[in-house]
Amino acid sequence: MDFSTVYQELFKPVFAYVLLRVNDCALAEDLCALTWRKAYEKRNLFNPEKGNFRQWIFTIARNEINMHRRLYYVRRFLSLTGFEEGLGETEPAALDPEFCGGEEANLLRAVSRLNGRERDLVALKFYSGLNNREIARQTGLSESNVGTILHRCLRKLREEMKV
Amino acid sequence: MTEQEDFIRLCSNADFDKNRAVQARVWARVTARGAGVYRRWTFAAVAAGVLFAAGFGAASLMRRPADLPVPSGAAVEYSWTCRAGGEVHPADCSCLRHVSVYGGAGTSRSVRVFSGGTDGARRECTLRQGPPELSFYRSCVTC
Repeated sequence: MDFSTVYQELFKPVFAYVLLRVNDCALAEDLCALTWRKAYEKRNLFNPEKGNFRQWIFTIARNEINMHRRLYYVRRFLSLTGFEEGLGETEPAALDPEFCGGEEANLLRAVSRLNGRERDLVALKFYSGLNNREIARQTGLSESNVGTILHRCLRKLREEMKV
Repeated sequence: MTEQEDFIRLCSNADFDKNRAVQARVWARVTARGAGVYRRWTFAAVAAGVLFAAGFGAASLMRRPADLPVPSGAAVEYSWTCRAGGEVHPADCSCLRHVSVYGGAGTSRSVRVFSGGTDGARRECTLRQGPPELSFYRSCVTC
């Protein structure tokens, strides 16, 4: 496996997934760097028999985001300076128009209206390439539940993005 | 293709890194030599140091009495005294604070306040009663 080739191919979907989850470009970049670094360091442990690389890297990204959320309050408590980093529950942070165009900003804004679980499912659906069954396995939900939530979310998103 | 699939495809094509600047920056961070390793070891070392210092500090705080300034003339020959609610309590040392002034009159300027509890080594404090209480102690020592 050539790591740089895989990186070129999968960076954008992974970044988009993380960005949709955390709603902050700078934080998404940091979490992406952590994700890819972990994948780079553990690349010898990747076993193609257990699943493809795409699933593997998305699992790492998902774990990094969840870890970030778990440690959010600890870091906030220990921080010596003002703590500005959010959990992505609010309006998206100012997007750099150079790399986040109008359509993308519109999508981010619409996704930010969803709750954390919905956002996770939608982002996985859009970018991980996993089907509902695989998403259900990753998230611990039932397949029908995933389908229902996604259907509801996509309807909400379409309405939000029309505005 | 259904309307839903069409919408998913549309959203999946969203490009949040059009000029690949983020991609380049992240790649530089990923491949920076030893960055992760050093950061992890530094963090582990600092965390271990902080934990050790905190444990040591807490233990010594528990063990060592606090030094309080004594006004001039307040240092008198004095033995162990047990106090409860600011009053001398000659009978029982448990749940009290032990107060001791070191040195003779005019030689010492510190009072040591020990945390309460029954301490076998200091049991003698129940046997002796100190001199009349100084007003200074009333304000500084609380049980």
